[in-house]
Amino acid sequence: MKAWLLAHLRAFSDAWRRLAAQPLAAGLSVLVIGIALTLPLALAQMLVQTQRFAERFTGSPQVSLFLAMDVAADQRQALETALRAHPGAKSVRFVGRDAALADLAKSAGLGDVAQALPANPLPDAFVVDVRGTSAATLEQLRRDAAALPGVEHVQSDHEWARRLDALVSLARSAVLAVAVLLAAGLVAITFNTIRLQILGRRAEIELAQLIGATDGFVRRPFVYFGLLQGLLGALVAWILVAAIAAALDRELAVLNRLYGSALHFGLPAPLTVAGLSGLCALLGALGAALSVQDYLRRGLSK
Amino acid sequence: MLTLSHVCKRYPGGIEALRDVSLAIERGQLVLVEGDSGAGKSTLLRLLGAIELPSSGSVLVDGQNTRALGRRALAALRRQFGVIFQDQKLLFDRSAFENVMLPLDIGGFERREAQRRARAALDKVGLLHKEKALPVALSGGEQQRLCIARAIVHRPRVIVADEPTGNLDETHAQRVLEMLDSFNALGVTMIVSTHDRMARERLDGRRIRLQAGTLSEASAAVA
Repeated sequence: MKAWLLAHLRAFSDAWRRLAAQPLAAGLSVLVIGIALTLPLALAQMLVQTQRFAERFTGSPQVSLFLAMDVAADQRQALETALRAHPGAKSVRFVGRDAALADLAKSAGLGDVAQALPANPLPDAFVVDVRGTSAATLEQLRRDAAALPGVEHVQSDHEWARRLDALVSLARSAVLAVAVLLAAGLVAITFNTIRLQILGRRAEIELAQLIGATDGFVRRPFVYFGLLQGLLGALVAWILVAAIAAALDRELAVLNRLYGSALHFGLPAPLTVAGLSGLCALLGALGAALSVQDYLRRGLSK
Repeated sequence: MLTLSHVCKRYPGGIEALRDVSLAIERGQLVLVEGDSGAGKSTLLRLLGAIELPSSGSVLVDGQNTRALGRRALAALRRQFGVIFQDQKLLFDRSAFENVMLPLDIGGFERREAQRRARAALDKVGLLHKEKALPVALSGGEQQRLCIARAIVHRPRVIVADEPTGNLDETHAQRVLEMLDSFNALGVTMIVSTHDRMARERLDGRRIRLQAGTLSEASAAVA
């Protein structure tokens, strides 16, 4: 275990030393990776903020449950409890039939008509604010509510939620496609960088193999090099994304003042930054590992 | 300990470097492989050092057939040898000390112990005072001694030396041969290929002769 750890520490320090020994070449590779990663990261951040803004702008989708006329108070109470317990429900509001009639009379200017009615035709109702904007959540809540005893009719404004969902899904797919392409680019850049390094160190590698180096011993420093390059590339990308965010937020602040909106670009959560940086590092390591493997496969027969 | 049985080695292009060679080398022996250039001496040494694999026949090292080993096991086997290459294979962008450290890095030695051993090996060949020098700053004899230091630093059981005195003047060659002799006296199996007359006269051990890939005289051939 100790020997294994020592071998990895040695390979890591070797990789770091080689990165530092060629600041220009390594710096340019890191910059290219950083710029390539900036596009999907910035687009993803823009998508997240657009989605949040859309949620705030349009408000939560609602489901209205109209009860049967003969629903007793205790049954109504049970219904309210069931609705509040539903994972898709953010808040539940009861609208009594008298309040609904009064509201109708007031909002539609139908006061005279309402007074002329022999009896109140409106049922009791619950208005449920849905958690999130997912069309799937909305649909699930609608179905569950419709199945509850005493509920006669359910109405939901799920069309706009579906449209928003479809738009977000389309944008997410586009970002994902760009991200996959650029991730492949990162792997290719690292593959090529490492291939050039291998060519430069071919004598050393061949000697090491002749005197007993395993494939792992040969591979390790290059994989760490690729890992560091990917990580530094991600760091550059985040710096660029932060710069873009700062520039856009200045412009958005003007719009926000004019329109009373709350648009901003911002930065992702630290956990997201760490996770994506780790992913970039892994992609760099993958490119390096593939490059060394390709060399080893074409090198000594055994 | 080292056994070759009906070994043939063919290279791409149809060149047959070794033909039906059978040979057994016991632990602690000093074996001098003689023969003209192109006789197959280097090929034989590469097969004995598990650097190459035979095209047919078998090479057994302590009973392990090199052809049957996987990459990892073959690498582990190679670490048991100390090899002095004919073309030296020094790393010219690394100091003498770093060149000698390489087998220890590969062997996974602890850093401090590795440094101690590397300095001891350099001291043994009289190059400790030049540990920071790049190989290009060393003379031919010093470069050869550096190769020897790299070959002995991990205390191998077998040293395979391919023309260790080639291109050296008499004084330097004499010193290298004394070193090889002293390692053998410590119990290390030595397999030395040479066509150098002085080496043949100076080294006292078992002699085998290769001629056009065939073992023409051997004192311990196996069936």
